[in-house]
Amino acid sequence: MPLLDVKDLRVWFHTRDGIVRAVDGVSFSLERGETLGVVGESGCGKSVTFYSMLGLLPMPPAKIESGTAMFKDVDLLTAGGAALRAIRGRHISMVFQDPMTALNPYMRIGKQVMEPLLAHGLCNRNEARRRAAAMLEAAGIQDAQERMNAYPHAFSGGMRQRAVIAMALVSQPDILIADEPTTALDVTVQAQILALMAKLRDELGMAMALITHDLGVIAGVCDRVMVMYAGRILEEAPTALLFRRPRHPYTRALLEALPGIQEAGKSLRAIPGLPPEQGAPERGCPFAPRCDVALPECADAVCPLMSLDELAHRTACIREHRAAGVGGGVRS
Amino acid sequence: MNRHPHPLLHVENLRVWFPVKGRLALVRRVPAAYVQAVDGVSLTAHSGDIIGVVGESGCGKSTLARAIVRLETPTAGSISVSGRDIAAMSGKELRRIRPLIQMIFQDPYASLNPRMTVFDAVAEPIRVHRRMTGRALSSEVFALMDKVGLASRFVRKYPHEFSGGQRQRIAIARALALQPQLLVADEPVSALDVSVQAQIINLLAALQQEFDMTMIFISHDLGVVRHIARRVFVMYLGRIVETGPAAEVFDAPAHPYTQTLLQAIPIPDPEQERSRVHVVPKGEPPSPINPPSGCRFHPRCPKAQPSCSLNDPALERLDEVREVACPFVRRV
Repeated sequence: MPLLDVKDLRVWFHTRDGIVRAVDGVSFSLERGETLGVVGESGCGKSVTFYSMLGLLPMPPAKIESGTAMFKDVDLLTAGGAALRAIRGRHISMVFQDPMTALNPYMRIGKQVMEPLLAHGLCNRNEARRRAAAMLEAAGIQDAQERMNAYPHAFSGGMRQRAVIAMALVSQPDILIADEPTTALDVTVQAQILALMAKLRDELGMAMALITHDLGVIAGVCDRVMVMYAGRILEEAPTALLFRRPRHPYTRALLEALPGIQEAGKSLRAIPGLPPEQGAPERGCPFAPRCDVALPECADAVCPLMSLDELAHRTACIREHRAAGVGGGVRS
Repeated sequence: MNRHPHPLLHVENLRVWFPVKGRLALVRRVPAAYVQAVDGVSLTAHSGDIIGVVGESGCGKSTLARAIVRLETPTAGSISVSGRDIAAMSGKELRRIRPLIQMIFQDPYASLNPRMTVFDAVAEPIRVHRRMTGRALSSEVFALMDKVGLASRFVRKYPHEFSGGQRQRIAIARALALQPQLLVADEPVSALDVSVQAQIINLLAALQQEFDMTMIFISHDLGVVRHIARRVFVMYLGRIVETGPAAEVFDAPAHPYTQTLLQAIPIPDPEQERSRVHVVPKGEPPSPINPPSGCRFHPRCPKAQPSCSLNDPALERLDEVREVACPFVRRV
């Protein structure tokens, strides 16, 4: 049984300007010890997917329209405040993009790292202090004992992110959700933080969901990748397979639009148009309007995420379904 | 390439320091310290060149850009445009030269006036500098919109009605309106999604060719710079540490910092990314207020020698086309 099993998750935002289908029928799972990459452009629903499970979305305007998210016999979507509080920061932790806003500027670093332990009553104050120091040390902060008395402003961006990671991992969670953890950092510091996260993941044996827009980060760290676009998962596959043989036109376009360090010169393949702002369309493939190989029926066909010949490789492209002899491009 | 007697842009020993106000700012005549944002940078661009400037945040690349368009006043050094030094210009004289040097900023949300329509934004520089009005003005605006791929029906819309990519097109149209000889683009695609980023890069490359402009392209994204620039300058803490043709600098970086930077960038290909040797970079970029003695990279340099903390290395020829500021790089 997977550690986290999400089925048919739908999160819609009911705004004055109408309904935004931010997440629209997303199903995936996360196995123990696995690192899942979630890649997509801004507004594709990658963050909303995970925020909704942890009860971090303002509701309203957000509303969970359907779905289950099973974590150890608990459905996170219906568990309610108290049950979620018992899970958040204890079994499932998060690391956010901006380490400055993730830390309380008025609280000493040490106190913030001790907080998950004390809030969940996992140990007494002295033990919490000892564990927090050990965790900060493991996260690469030297002289952790002393630095615990510092306030966040005294830390550099990279150090702050190390503190945030220590805070997320001090309770030894089963799952770490990292939402663009290195986007605000310089590349040399990014390399340090990614190496640190991979090391701690292996030491603690936890599962990790890494949300990012950077395919390079995915390539180095993740076992499996899901590609999101306009509130849907368009493709999911083991990392090597996805990069070697992308089976959705959007994934292919995304990979080709990336200027590589290795080669230069030729014009980049730009994807025409813009990502939809209203989330998933009511009918059809969300990428169809920008897709260069779209069939007429793509505009209104049902495009479920289906396994191809390699079972671990799922795509929502009906062209690929037909080529692989699965499904039939059912009309709605 | 037709070589004029003067290169289009010649920056010599440019220094831009910002005073830091200490606690005794009111008492003291002289500031307590300086942020040495740009410290002794020399750079030449011939007509039609595309120059890339890369480096991490705080390396001074944006300050360099802003000094070249004279949004900052240089502390020392010269900036010659077609043989005329603009570093010390002011008032009318400077205003006359401004049309020749235009800039595109990183954040198209901040660089456009929210109360001006697209028409007004693009028309403004033409009205002010080219003194056009009426039909001539509007046909010029429509021609520019067409050049940057904005449909003419958008002409009465306001910036908030556009996506980031489209706003950047408006900013580009505005910059081109004065037919500049030199276009300085400071992180023009960093705020954009990958799929839109490629559109804007291709657009800039095409326009540069069409108008035979010289372009200074500043970015922290080495992939983007590799793609568009022919010559690159690598900056670290206000200094240039390496320069040469983009292909050579990226394929065979000579300066230890360039090597560190390139190794830190994850390659969006799992096989390559996982098989290459990863050296996790040391430390974080130090503050430009109190830069390290000697070579500014020495505290983080994997190849540092004892003398590196004493001697400040100058940029010296490595071979026919490259210059490196490290005495331990083998020279031909």
